[in-house]
Amino acid sequence: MSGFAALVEGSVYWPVLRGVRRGVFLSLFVLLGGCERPEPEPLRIAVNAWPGYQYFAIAQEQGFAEQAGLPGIRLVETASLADSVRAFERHQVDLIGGTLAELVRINSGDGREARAVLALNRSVGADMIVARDRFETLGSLRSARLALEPGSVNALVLAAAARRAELDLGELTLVSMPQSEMERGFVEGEIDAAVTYPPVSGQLLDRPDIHRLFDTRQVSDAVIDILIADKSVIETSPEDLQALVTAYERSLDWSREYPEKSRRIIARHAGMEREALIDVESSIEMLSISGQKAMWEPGGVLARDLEGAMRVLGQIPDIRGTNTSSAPGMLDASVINALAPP
Amino acid sequence: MMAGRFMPVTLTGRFMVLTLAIAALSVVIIGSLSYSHNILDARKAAKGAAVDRILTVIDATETAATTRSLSRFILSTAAQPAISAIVVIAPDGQVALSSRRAWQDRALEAIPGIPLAEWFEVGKEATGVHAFWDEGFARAVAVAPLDPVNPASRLVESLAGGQVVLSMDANGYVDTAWSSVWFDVFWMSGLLLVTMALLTGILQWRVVSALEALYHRARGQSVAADHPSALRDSTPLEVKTLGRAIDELEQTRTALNAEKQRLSNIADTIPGVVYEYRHFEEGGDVFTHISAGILPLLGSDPGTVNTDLVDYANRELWPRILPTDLDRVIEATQRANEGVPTEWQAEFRIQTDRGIRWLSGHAMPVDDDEPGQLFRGVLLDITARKTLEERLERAATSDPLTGALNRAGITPQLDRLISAAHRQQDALSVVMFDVDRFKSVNDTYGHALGDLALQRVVALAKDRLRGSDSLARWGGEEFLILLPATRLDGAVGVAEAIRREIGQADFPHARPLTISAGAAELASDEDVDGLLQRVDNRLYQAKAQGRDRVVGR
Repeated sequence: MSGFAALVEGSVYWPVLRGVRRGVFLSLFVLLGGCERPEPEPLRIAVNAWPGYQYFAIAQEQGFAEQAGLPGIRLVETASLADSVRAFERHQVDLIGGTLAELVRINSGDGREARAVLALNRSVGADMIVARDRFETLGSLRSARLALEPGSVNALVLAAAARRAELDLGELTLVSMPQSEMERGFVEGEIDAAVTYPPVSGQLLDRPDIHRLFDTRQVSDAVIDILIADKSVIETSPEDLQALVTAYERSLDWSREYPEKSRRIIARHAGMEREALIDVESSIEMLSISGQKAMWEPGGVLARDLEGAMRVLGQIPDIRGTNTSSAPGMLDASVINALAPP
Repeated sequence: MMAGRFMPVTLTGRFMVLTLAIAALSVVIIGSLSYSHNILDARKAAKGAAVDRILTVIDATETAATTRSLSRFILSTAAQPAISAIVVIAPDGQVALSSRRAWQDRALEAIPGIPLAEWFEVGKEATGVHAFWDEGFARAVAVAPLDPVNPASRLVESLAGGQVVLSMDANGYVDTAWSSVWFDVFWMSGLLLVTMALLTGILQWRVVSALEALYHRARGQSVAADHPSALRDSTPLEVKTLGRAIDELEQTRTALNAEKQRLSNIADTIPGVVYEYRHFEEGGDVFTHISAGILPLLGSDPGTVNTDLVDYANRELWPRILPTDLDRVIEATQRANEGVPTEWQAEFRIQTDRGIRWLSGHAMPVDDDEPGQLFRGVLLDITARKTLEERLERAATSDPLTGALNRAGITPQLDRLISAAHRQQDALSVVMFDVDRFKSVNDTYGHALGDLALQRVVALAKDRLRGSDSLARWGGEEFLILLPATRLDGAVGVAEAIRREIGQADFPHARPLTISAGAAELASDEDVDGLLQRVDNRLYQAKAQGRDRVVGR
């Protein structure tokens, strides 16, 4: 090829040919880049109608997620915490809003591993046991058919109530039922009592023959809502998680500044009337990043509650026993440690 | 011109550019076709998936016991990442159920983010399940009328006449389609590159290497010009024919060069200089060719001139022409170029490294298509001829004994100066003198001493004359002095001075000599003969009055 090279390279147009060659390589590079460029996917978060989870909707609607550096967030609305868990287990979402009960339940199976990364709020009366008027004490529930979502926060509430009334869970007639079916259960006489929370609790209490028998005001820190993340998301996208928590914190700040606007958005996404939301607000205490650092320490509230939840859930029928995951392993404070002030 | 600038000059270069251009065009075309095909397929697949899912939702509306359980079904189904929204719309245009609680119980128009109202309108116009592509959102949208057959829930029955809308996020399908497009493009690019490389290789093997050999041969770089067989037998016929033509051209060129060299040698070796010269009306005349004879002509050593001979001639020749002769050369050039160009001829002197030399130039005009007038001619060194001519002229006009002019020598001056004096009304005088009794000197002391005496007389007389004056031996011992711009008094004074000088001088024969002289001033309307007659008469008077005197009247 020496002759070929001499003819072409000897030409004064060789720089042009060299440019063409460079252009071809550049094009191939761009083509390859076009093939391999990963499309940024928004984080998918499953939330049920619980008002305490709707601050993610504020972050989404107000654009706080994008401002924090995320490609956006996608809220997948579910009918219940159980449905949120199901969506998580089916890999339909990356994160869910739930309680320690959901955390334990997810980690009890053979599927995805989940970790709590943020405490969202504390129930101060929002979770409750409602019953027909004829059941006046917790002790009277021994003869009642009590509905609860299996493997959910309901179990934590029931356990707290049982502890308080010195009830043995084995004495109770428990009926597995999602929150969305509870009103129908009462109407059709299928159940006499239910472990519930807003907005279903409000709908049930609106019925003339149902009253509140017990709520979480009577037991401190019994129910703490948390953000549960897939373990691989924590490992592969820690920046995205931090950005999400930053956007969430900003939603809390914004809500304090514009309570009415915030209420409107939360009511819409929770499927509640504004007035009903105002009734519920006092029973939910939102937790900021700075206010929860102590909760994450070994021996803190979360670790203690988690151990309690694992014990209680193991006692309840229909709930699978916990397996390999230990309590401390399910709590991942990396996001809080990265974002909370020292 | 731009295309010319960027187009390679060589055959292989141009072929490469052409194949690259074809390859690029083909890739673009294949890419476009593949894009159209795959994207259309992706949309079709996404629409099919949307239809399948919406049929499932329609089935759920038939079987759901309560609105709440239907809502839960919708929420669970919409948790699938590919589904972006499911909406059940009541006949009055209100959202009855939705995968987003925030949309429920709201009018379609009040829902931001997606064009639900538009989709609802599309669904109203369609019959049965209808799917379409929403380009703005890259979504496949399926719309189905709510027409319950035997619903389990009375609440669902109330929705009859409404619609179910299901929006599929088709990014996954589109991404897959793009992957196919890139695959096709890469596949095509690879095929084209391989084809291009093969074609270029064949071109190089069969044609370019042969053309390359011819190319070098045509540029005179060949080491095998007599080896046409350097082309392979497999070389295409056209290239072989071209090779033979180049060989013939090469032979012709060699012969031409030899002839050219022979002519150049002839021009360089003949005496004198052969040259081509181009004259321009507006000035800037130049030599366009000059033979090597210019170097000895200007007296330069050939070894010392390193520059081109033409440059050397243009630079050196003109400044060396003596200023007194330059006008003559210029005049000859102008004359040769007046009207129809004619031959140019001039004789002039130049300052060479060996002194002043006479040159004779002779050139003939030659017609050609170039600007200016071309002359071809010769320059010859005629210094020897000029010297001979001068010597001959001197011999004809001077007296060999005394060195003074003879009668033939002074007559032209007489004629010229008398004409000029009349024309300019200027004075002119002549003196004629004769050595007294000179015959006795010859007789007594011999002709040898007589000749010496005459030489002495001439020398003494010349001492008294100005540069513009002339002295001639008029005959025997008789001399004529021509005094331009001199009145009679002056002439008499000059004559008296010469007479006194000679009278006081010593001579080889040791006897004093005297002269008698006549002086006359040119009268108006007097000719040469009249003036000479008058001065001769006065010389006679001086002799008659006893010699050794000057008569001026």
